[in-house]
Amino acid sequence: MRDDLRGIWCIIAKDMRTYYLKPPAISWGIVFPIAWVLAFYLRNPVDFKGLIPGLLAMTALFSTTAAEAVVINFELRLGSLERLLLAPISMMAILLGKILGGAIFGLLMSSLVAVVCALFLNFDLDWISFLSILLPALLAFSAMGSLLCLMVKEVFEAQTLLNLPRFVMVFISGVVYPVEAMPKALQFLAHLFPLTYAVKGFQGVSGVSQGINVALHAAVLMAFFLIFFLPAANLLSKKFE
Amino acid sequence: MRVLADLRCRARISISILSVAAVARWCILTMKIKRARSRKSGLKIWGLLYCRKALSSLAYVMNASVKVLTPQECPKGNVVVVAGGACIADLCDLLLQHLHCPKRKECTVTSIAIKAEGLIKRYGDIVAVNGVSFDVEEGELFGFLGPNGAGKTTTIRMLTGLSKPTAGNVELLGLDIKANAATTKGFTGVVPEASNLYDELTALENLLFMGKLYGVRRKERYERAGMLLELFRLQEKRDRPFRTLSQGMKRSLTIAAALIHNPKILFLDEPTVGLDVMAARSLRSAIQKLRDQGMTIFLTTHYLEEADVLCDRIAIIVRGQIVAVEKPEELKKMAIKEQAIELTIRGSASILVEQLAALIGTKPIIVDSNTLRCSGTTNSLLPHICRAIQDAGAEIESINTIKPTLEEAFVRITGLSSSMMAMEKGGK
Repeated sequence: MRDDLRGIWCIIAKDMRTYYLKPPAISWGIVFPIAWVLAFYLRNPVDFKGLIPGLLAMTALFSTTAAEAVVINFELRLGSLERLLLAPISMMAILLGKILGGAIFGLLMSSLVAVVCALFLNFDLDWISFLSILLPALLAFSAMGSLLCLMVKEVFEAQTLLNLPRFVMVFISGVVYPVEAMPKALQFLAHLFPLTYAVKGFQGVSGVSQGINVALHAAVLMAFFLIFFLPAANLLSKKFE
Repeated sequence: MRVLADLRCRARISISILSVAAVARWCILTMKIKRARSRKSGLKIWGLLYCRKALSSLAYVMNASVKVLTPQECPKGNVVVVAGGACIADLCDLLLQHLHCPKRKECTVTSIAIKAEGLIKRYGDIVAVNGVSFDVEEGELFGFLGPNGAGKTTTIRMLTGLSKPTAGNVELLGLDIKANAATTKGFTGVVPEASNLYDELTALENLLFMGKLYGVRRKERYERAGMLLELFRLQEKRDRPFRTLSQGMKRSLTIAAALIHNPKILFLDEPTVGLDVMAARSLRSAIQKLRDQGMTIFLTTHYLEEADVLCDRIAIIVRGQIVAVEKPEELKKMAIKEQAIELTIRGSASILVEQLAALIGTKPIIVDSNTLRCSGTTNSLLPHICRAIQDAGAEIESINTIKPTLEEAFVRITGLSSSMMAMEKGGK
């Protein structure tokens, strides 16, 4: 257990140092969410506050998954992931280290967007409640990213594969258009994606929507984390058999 | 009969333990073994058949972690006690000092660092490794030789726990790698075929990261990193990112990274592939130094000369199966039983052909106008050959005994050409 904790910390620290400034992480994890936020703000600055929870959730999604593609696929391509597997730490710890590495990148980006919104747009936010949704959301997105990234080898393949669920989620999970206003079938589909719960959760903690059970949404996001984490661990194990 | 004798022997030991003296001795042994086990190393004790009783009593005291192999399982009349998690020095001491062994001075103690038993690896219908078994002794530099696709890397991946065997077992220092994954990984260092350290980190940072990952304490981490950079002559490059280093330096640093936690067993997968002559020579010298320090090294290579120069023993693997495991010299003898002599004569050599053919039994080959090669000779025939040449009025300019090379042995054993091995990975 102690070895595993040490291993997780080593992997996170190394990934932060090595991969956070890689071009794919910057373009998909930093530039893309900021561009979306600015585009929506410039289009309609008056009603922008209502969109902030969705954009925060989208920022968390894109930044974590973009970072996952970098921290996993760079190492898969170079073979350095094997190096970690040879160390006296469990495979679960390695995967958790990778997932947390992506989640921390997402935390930095989402927090940055939230701080900017709070400072310049008077966006009221209870920071503890905000983190209670943000952290499980980051874990769920990061685990989803790791699962998809482990299916391919190259970073560009991973980003392409990730775009499929990312864009589907952006359009049906209530980032720009409320889920309740969509047809029933799409509403059902929306509830199969973690982004929907993250958007709802942020709407609840920011007061944009009333009567949202934030704890329940956080719990669902944690369940999503497990749903993605376990097959990702299985896939990682199979990859090196 | 032997089984009965063994049972009788065990029964006698059980009875003898009831005596006060035996109980006292049992206590001493148990205490010692408990102390030894905590050190997490493995052991195999080889003794002569006469020691069987003594070894059995040792096994009895050491309970479940010991198995005594029967004479059928262990050829050459030896009895083997395999003791997982025991300390070699202490057990040697036990064997030689406490046990009443009539020929204890003849007992030799050998530890087994790597034990592979019936390893099989299948990928669908393809059998990459098919029933590979071998032992590597502690402190040995063991070569694993074979052409590309023979199963070398697959075997090394199974030995290091990176890949699960379809069937078979691997023990490192007496510990099963499946049951003791973290422990065995902790005392092994692995150098994969590709130099896969982190491009963005400097040489020093890469070593420190690996040290941290293996739980080496901060002070020791820095000390060992400095020592290894010095050993591999990378001290001046310590602050340069890995990606900017030359191919040879990258390889050296990859080996250094595998040594940062001071492993007991080092796995080297094709360490000199793609290196220039000087870099390869420098690496070989570093590997020899590590062997001299007592490290067990498992080396896979397809360079025959490298294996010949470096290895204490060599296993040859072809199409997933081991075809020979021997010392390089024995391999050469196994494959080429006949010695050849090359004679350079002043004047024409052709006149001696018939005379020498009658003496040796086979016709000598005319290498050039002055040189003959006589195969099928032995050293005892040499004076007769010299006399025959003198009798024919010829004068010997030089005599060379042509020893078989590992390359010739490899070709004979595997039926493959040695050039095929060199070509497959770019050769040297």
